[in-house]
Amino acid sequence: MKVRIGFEIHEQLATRTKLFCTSPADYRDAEPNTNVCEICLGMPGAKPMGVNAEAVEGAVAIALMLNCEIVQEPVYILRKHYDYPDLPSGYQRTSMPIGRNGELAGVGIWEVHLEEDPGKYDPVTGKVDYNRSGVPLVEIVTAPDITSPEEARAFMRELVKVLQYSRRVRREGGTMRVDVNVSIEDGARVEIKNINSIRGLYRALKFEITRQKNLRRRGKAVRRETRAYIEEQMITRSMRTKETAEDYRYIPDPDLPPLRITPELVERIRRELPEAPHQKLARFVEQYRISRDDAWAITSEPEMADAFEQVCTQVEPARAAAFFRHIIKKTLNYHNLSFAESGIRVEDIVQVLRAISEGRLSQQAGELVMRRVVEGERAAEVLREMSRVDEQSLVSAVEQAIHQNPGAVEDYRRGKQEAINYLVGQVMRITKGRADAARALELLRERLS
Amino acid sequence: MNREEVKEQAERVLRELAEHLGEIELEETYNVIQVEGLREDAAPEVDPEFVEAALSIAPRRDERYYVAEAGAWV
Amino acid sequence: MAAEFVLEHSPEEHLARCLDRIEREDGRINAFIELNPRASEEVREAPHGRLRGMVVGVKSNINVRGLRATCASRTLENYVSPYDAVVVERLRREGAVVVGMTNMDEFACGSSGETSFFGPTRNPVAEDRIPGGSSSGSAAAVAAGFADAALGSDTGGSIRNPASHCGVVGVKPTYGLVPRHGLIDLAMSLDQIGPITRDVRTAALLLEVIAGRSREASMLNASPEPYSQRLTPDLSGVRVGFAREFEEFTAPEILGVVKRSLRRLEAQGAEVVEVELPSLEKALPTYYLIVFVEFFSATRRYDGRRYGHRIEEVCGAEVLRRILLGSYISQKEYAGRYYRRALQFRSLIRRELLEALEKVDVLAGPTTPKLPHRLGEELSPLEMYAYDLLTVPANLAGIPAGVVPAGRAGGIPVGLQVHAKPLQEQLMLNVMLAAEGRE
Ligand SMILES: [Zn+2]
Repeated sequence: MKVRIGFEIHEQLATRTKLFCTSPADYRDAEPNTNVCEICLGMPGAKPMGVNAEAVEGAVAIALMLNCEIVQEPVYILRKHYDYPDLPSGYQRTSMPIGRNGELAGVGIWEVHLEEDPGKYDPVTGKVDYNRSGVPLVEIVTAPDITSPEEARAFMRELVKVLQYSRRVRREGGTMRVDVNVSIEDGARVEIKNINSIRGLYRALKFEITRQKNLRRRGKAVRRETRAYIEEQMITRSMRTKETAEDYRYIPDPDLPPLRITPELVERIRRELPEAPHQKLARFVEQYRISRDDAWAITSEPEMADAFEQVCTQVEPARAAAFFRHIIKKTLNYHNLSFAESGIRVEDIVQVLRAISEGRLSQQAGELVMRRVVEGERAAEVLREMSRVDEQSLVSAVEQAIHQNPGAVEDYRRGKQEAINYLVGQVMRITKGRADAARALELLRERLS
Repeated sequence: MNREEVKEQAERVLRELAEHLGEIELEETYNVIQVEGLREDAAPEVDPEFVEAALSIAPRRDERYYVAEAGAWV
Repeated sequence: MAAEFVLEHSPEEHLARCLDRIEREDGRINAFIELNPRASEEVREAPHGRLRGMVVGVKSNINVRGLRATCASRTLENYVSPYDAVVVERLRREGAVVVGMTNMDEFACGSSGETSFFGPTRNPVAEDRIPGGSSSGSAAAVAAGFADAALGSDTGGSIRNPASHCGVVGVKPTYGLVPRHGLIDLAMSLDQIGPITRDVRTAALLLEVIAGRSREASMLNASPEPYSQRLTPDLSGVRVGFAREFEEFTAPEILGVVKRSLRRLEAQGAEVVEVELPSLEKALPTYYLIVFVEFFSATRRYDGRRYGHRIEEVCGAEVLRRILLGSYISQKEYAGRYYRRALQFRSLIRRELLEALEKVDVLAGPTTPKLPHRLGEELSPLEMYAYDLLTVPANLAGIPAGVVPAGRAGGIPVGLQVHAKPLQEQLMLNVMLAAEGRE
């Protein structure tokens, strides 16, 4: 049975202010309902300011990276009316398409447009926090070209990568929301809302396709409806049917002039467009002479790809690539972190790779160092600590120093305090500088007292 | 006047207005002024006095949260 | 010429006199919904600006921090505004003092001042009559001498209609000249804030203070002009258009006053020319269909969650009628038949007006087709809407229009309405000054 799947993907754009006001777009550390003004609270009489140009450029850039045509005619910003506690004005502002007819990984992109995020509502407690209200979102609508949950997952990974590469979206994570359309053969289209991870998307699709197939097997028709994905139970549940479908009563917002996206603006953004993931991959294979698999792993994240290029100015690329693909990726997976979140710096990688190539550090030990870097330490410190001699060797080095320098020992015993510094120096010489000087001093004092 | 009477009267009003209007074939006017509607993204602002004043008039709240129920209008 | 507001007394004394008059007479007139308890304090601290000491009433649909912007509706009876409208900020910066929030038709839905939840306002000049609306309290407060000036809002005549009925000056500026941020919506594409005053000079001064670019999106990129300094009643070479359709729709006693007023303009050097506005009769249905849809949209936030009442449960008949009609005609199924058709007619009316204004410099004529009715007289919705026939075209086209007292008919004031091209407020005010007949 032929399955057709399409997406509507929403992601926050990384601007400083909200879409129609100068409240901060980043609300992550703000107390509830403090990140607001009369405009994003939809207070009586409040009027939107001009549209945030950065958000418009972000949507254009993303549309271009998804190979869309940019719309020439005026782009009206519509009011989409519906009633929900998170929507302070009773309508959400959403633009007409900015980009159309794109394509990514063989999947058609129907349109890219701008929207404002509603606030956050908790139906259990009834609490509403409007800090998020008015944050710019880009919405991407795909054609129903996807035919399985596995394909859906692969496509979403690719799309997330492109969005990250655009450098226009929030990198903190957890802000993406996906609505999915699923139909089987020529059955009714079911929309699933409330999905916010790729794993959730995969599970929701698995469940929904099974549900629809079972209905058909029992000779029942699939209803056209909207369902919600319930994360905890990994199921979908009916929200509303077509008969009760909402009429959003779209009208162009009379408070906002339409956007005019000039060819000059589009050209400028196109010129400044960051490299797309597939372009970077091809370049890495060519420029650094590394395998496609290595390049694929390294370009999975733009920040990691950047770090790789910087490392390659100091370390041989083949070795760097192997380290990135095997050690760094493994460490990140273990901690379930992205490279951007991990806190790994270029110098950490360079120092570990140098230590390995100079024979001071084994491959396995290198992995250990990276793990500690991810946990918040710096590679230089860790390396210093790891290269230190152990307690037993230190004790024998102390013995050796005492044995070989009876004169200094004598001086110290007679009360000449500086003599012990000389003995510490001798311990360091014997251990080739790998001793902890403070511990050596302690041991010498104990031994000579 | 009850809601039903208002509704009936509204229907009459609409019928008469629409009849009066007649047919036309022209472009719609949504905006009478043509302006550039963009704003540069700049440093964000918050007015703490406004924030408190806005919250203080909420009919239902729980500390810093508004409290509301889902439902539908009209 | 002085571009400042001039007082006979100290600002404190002047405010005290206004408050005294309000206390004595407003129980009868009902021009104010709420007085500003901090007014006396504010007048002492007022900066020495161009409006120093000016006592201003503000329509109850304009936000003034700390006062209630009720829109004369139970819906917002508890809404204490947490912010100042841009126009209010600008008034304060120039030393004006907000004396209180004025009465109005509920959510500005009305042309008589009778639909207020806080009771109707009387016309101070003819107390058995309505003052007009929807800026009923603003016009009445100025006419009764409770305030030097008032702010009103005008969506389809809401400043000009009560100005005409109460014998005061009212200006609806070019759409996008005066910031609306803080004005509670009736219909966003039509609403403008403007001054109501006792003379043209004060209106000009107030307008130059509140006009000009702000941060809101739908604003013209216009700088304020010193209208009050450039005022002149000399109309040499000015062509004044009078549409023959005005005669068709207007009561003869009003036409008589208006024509006398036109002769005064001629005496000041103007040439009166007849023009045509063949689609004038389409203006009313066009206007109302657009208002219904925009008003429906604007009222969605009054869902009972954040301001205490759900609008449909507590509003009056006219507000409910507009919401129901707006909800109905903006449905996907019907939008083409009503809303979009009205927007097409809007194009036609706008084009006609702008074309007429190519042939002449201003259009002058009556403000309302009929004199104000007696308070309490029952009118059908369509009879009420008919008051707006001559005022809605300016809003549909986005052009400025002002009203100046032209005389009386049977003791009731009649205002002359002057329309001008977009941003030609100066010329419009000059024509109004000439009609005002003051030296
Ligand atoms: Zn805001």
